[in-house]
Amino acid sequence: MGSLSDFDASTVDELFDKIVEQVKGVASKWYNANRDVVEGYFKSLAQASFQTQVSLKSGRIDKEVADQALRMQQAALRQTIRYTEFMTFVLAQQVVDAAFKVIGTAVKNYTGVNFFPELSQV
Amino acid sequence: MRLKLLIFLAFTSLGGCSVFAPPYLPEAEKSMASAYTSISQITACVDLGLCATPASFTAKESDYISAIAGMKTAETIVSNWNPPFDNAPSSKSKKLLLELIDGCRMQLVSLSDIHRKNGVPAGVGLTQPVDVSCNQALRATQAMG
Repeated sequence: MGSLSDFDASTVDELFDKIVEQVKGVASKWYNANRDVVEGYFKSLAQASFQTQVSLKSGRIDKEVADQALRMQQAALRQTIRYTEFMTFVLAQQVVDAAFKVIGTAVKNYTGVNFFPELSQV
Repeated sequence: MRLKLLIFLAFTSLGGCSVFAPPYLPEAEKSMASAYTSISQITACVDLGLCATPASFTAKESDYISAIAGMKTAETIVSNWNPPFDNAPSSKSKKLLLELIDGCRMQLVSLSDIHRKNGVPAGVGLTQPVDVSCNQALRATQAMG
C-alpha cells in the first residue's frame, strides 16, 4: 500500500486506482470476491469526489456544499459494503432454493407428493 | 429408517423457506422501482443543469415527495415480512434490506436540502452518491425475483 501523504489526483482514473489500491490493501479478499458488484459503484464515486474537489477549487461550490457532497459519497461507500453483505445472504438463499428444487422435484416425481409447490412447479 | 425419515423431515422443513433472505416481495419492488423513476427525474434535471437554482426546487418537489413516499411503502412491506423462525439469518438480511432502502432515502433528503437552499449545480459530485445508493436499494428489492 503506497503512501497517501502527498497523493493528489489529477484525473478520475488516478483517484479510482488509488481507492482500489487502498481498499485492496486492507481487504483484498473482500475486493476480489465482490469486484464485479462494487467496481462500477467505486468508479462512479471516484468520479463524484473528483468533480467535488475540482468544483471546490474553481469556486463553483462553497466549502459547505463540498463537505455535504463528500459525506454523501462516504455514505454511498458504506451502503456499497452493506449491499455486498446483503447479496451474500441472497446467494445463500438461492443455493438452498436451487438444491430443494431438485430434491422437491425428485420426491414429487417418485411419490406424487409436492412438498415445495413454490419451488418445483414442474 | 426412522432416522432417515427424521433427516428428510428436517430438510423439508428448511426447503422453500426463507432462511437466509426474505423472499421476492413484488409490491416492495414495485414501490422501490417507482421511487427510483422519480429519483432519476431529479438526477437527470441536475445533470442537465436545470436544477441549479433554489427556485428550481418547486418544479421537482412532487418527484421528491413521490420518491420518499414510494420508499416508505417499500419499507413497510419489507417490515411486515417475518423470518420463518427467531434468529434466522434472514432477520439479519431483512434488516440490511431496510437499511439499504433507508440509505437511499437519506441521500435523497440530503440532496433535497441542498437543492432547496442552494440549488444543485451539474457535475459537482452530488448525483452519483444518490444514484449509487438508490440503485443498490432497487437491486436489493429485485435480488430474489
